[in-house]
Formats: sequence, C-alpha cells, structure tokens
Amino acid sequence: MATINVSAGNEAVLVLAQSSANANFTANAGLVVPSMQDITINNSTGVFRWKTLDSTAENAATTPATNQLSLNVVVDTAAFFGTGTAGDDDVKEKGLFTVSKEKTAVYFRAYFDGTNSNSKYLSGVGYISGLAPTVNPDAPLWVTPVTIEVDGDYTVGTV
Amino acid sequence: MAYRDTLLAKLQTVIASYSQFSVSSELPFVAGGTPLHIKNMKTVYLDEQQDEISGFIITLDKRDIDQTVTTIRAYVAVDAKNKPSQTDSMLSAIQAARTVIAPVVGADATLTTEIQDDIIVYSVEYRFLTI
Repeated sequence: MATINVSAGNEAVLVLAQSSANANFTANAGLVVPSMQDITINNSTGVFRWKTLDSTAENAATTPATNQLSLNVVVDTAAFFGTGTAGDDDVKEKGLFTVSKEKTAVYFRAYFDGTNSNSKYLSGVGYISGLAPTVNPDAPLWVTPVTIEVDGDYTVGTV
Repeated sequence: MAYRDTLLAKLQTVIASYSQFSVSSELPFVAGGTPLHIKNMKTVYLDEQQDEISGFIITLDKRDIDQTVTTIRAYVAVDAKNKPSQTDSMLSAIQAARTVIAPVVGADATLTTEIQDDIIVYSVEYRFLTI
C-alpha cells in the first residue's frame, strides 16, 4: 500500500490530444495542461433502489456512471488559444477554447503520480465544456474552470 | 528600494507646495534616543520599504504565481498645542501620493495618529500589492 503524494516531486498531469496515441505523455504530442490548480475525477454511478415487503431495508443496484473530469487552471495563452502551428496535435494547435467551441472529441490521460514508470493513469475520450474564464482587480490573473464530459468509460493504465 | 525612491521623489514635489512642512530624504532613525521625525517636527520622513512575498496561486506543476506586498511608512510630527494650519491638507496629499507607484494591483495608504506628550505623530502606511 502506498499513498499518492503530488507534493513529493511528481505531480498530477493531464494530457489532452486528438488521438489516444497522442494523449500518451511519452508521445510528446498532446497538450499537457499547464498551471492546473486542482483536478477532480468523477465516476458517479446512478443508483436504482427498490423495496420488497419481506425486507426491512431497501435494495440497491448501480446504474451506468456519469464520468467527468473537472479542473481549474490559470489561463495560459498557448494552451487556451492554441499554438496555431500546423502539424501540432489538433488540441495543441487549436487550444482549449476552440476545441470546446467546435465540440471536438478529445482523448485524455490523467496521470495520478507524474509520468514516470509505474504511475497510474485514467484515460478516455470526452468533450471539453464549462470554460468560464474570469478575472477581477483583486485577482488579476485569468483563471478558468474546465470540465471534460467523458463519453463512455475510463480505462485504467500504468505507465 | 525602488518604491521608496519613487515615493520620496513624489512627496518632495507634493510637499513643496506646503510652506509649513518639508521632506527629508533621511530614514527616520533614532538619534540620541529620539526618532528624527519627533526631533524635527513638521518634517516628513519615509522609512525603508518592507517586502512580503507569498504564494498567490499554487499550481500542481509548480508554476506558482507570487504576490508581493510592499509596505512603506511615512512619519511626520507636529506640535499638538500649535497644529499647523496646512496639516490636514498635507496629510491628504501624502496619502494621495500613493498613486505614483504603478503598475500595481492595489495601493492603499492608511493614516494613523498617535499623541506622545504634546506631540502628535502622524504615520501613513503605504501598502502596494503586485502580482
């Protein structure tokens, strides 16, 4: 047993890309989301409950899960608006905003403990939504929430 | 010490229009057991600036963004029995001088008053926030 401590050198890493292969960090192709303040990975199953006359307690069964990644990031120009470099991975080239606007599916890998060997990750495909960049005089840096609505299931992997 | 220099230059310009007051470029150190601003009343002294740097936004990939709070205090003392007529407007001008420091996220100037025997000591604390 071991805890996963992101303050101990490695960190949570999220890679977004146009393909599953590019979402692999070692491919060095996808967009490594910079300046993440936090990330939450949701795997929220629904629950169907029913009661029977011969039981003193409810029965339950889970229904398909709603999968979602939510994070907050400091807006980085290249990550948010894209590099604009033809030949880059589409997500990297177009940036978070355009990919969200165009409703393009993105492949993701969320590494729990850095990208070194034996680190666990969850991968899948989804759609970027929930962008809401905000700034104010007291906090003069643009920050935005980002949500990735996962289409289908997560896959657990190990680097 | 750039902020102090800029602020001192601004105060020297502003206070020049108040004939009852002056500005010293010296620090308000203690001479013979008495702070200079008490020894030389009606003279404005500007202390050294203090910088406090702390994390403003902490990120998972260590691209942290810091904020710096710079504090500078100005002192001026007057005779409580014979308060100069220009005192109030001069103090307002000292507080307004904070706008000379730019660009900053926030610039505050807080005036506090203390009476020591027959001397009124005004201190203005400037706080500048940069990110």
